[in-house]
Amino acid sequence: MLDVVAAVAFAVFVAAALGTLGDGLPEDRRRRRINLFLVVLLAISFGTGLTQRELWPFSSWPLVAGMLDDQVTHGRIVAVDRAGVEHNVDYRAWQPLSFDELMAWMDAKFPTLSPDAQQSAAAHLVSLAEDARQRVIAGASPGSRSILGPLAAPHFILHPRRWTSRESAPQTELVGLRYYRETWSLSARARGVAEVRRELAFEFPRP
Amino acid sequence: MRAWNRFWFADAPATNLAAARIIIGSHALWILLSRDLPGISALPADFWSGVSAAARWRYLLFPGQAPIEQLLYWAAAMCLAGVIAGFLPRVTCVMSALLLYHLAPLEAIIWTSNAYERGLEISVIALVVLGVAPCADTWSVRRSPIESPVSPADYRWPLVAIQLVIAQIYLFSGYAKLYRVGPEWISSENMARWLQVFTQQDQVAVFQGPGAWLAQNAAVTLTIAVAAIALDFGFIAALFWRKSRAWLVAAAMAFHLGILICMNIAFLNAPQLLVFLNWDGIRRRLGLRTGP
Repeated sequence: MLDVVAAVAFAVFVAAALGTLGDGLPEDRRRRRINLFLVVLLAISFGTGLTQRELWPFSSWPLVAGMLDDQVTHGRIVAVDRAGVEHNVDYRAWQPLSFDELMAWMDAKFPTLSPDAQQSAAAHLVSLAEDARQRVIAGASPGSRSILGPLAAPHFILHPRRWTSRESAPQTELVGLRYYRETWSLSARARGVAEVRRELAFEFPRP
Repeated sequence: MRAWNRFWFADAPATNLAAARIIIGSHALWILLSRDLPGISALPADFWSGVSAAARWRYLLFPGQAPIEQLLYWAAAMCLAGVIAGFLPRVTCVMSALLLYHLAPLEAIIWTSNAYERGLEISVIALVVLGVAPCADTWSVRRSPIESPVSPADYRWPLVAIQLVIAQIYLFSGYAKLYRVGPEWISSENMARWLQVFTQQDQVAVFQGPGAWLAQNAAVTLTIAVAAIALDFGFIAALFWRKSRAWLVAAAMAFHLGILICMNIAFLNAPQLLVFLNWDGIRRRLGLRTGP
């Protein structure tokens, strides 16, 4: 329903903007149309912000607008090579997916897929990681596409570059994937005494 | 009504609106060329299976259309180059806005239809505004003189509209903290946890030391929380109080730099704050021409 409301809101916004055009219009009539457009802009943007509903491109901007518990849980995808060794994957390997979209999808949508679809999607992710590994071994960047190279915009959340040289990438073929959920105490980890509890949520191929 | 007219329709120079056109166009092109948006369309169908029909039709996004998306991607890039140059601004601004409205949500579409925080939401709104404004009357490739001079007020309301949606980022961000959490958001403990969660994950932490160090001191984290809320609710003053503008923009830039280093969050809209600067004053100080 919100998708429909958002689409209508954007259509009204564009229509009101185009309504201000009219080079031959008398000044007072044109001013009325501009006023109408500004009222539409104010209504949609403040409506979005004050109700905290997303009507993209109008946003409610809930930036770090939450209360965190001391216990946090985050996902981790690792690739598995032929010897069964796990490797962290450079975030650029998942392109065209960005790391954060992939992790959100793994939490929100992946569990709703059928077991066969999960295996098929995981196989694709392994192929992305393996292609990236091969690019790094060949001396290139792990990312599949880099028009702007180092000048490219970062993502909203930064991620460290793991595969920065041939030696830093896995040396053997990646053939599997595991998705873990890791839980720890923020305060204990800050004191250096926390254990990270790991729960295997998914494995490809099936054990 | 007088206050409304004074706010939106005071006389303004063409330069500031032209600068906004260049800033918004350059920023959008930078974000666009930094992402492989058509590649999302080429993902296997399993990745798209959770995308609702409403979301697909809202943006006219469908899986398996990578060649078409590639074409639209480059069309958007060319339109944005036209925006920056001031070439056929009415066409290039509106076309860029519509193409970005279609393309930008690809980044997150596999799990959400709301692509906020990805850097292009303000661009879409601003480009629609620029498309109906005389934004290329100076600092553009336009060679011919302006045929029908517009009122100086026509350089003001589009710029203020763009500044408004940027200022709303801060206002709504502060409001969201109080609406979703309440006054208890402003606590040293909560702020410390936000710093820790972004510095303790090895998958995220490019910068670990500063955030972890700040999180150790309750007085410092409480000060950060208070300052964050103060900036969130205070930035809107930049719209009404001209003398505060440069200071608020500088404070916001410093704030985002601090967040980058302490929380590993890159606020992609930060360059758009440049639309608050008085480019006409800068132009005069540098002795630059305004004419086409």
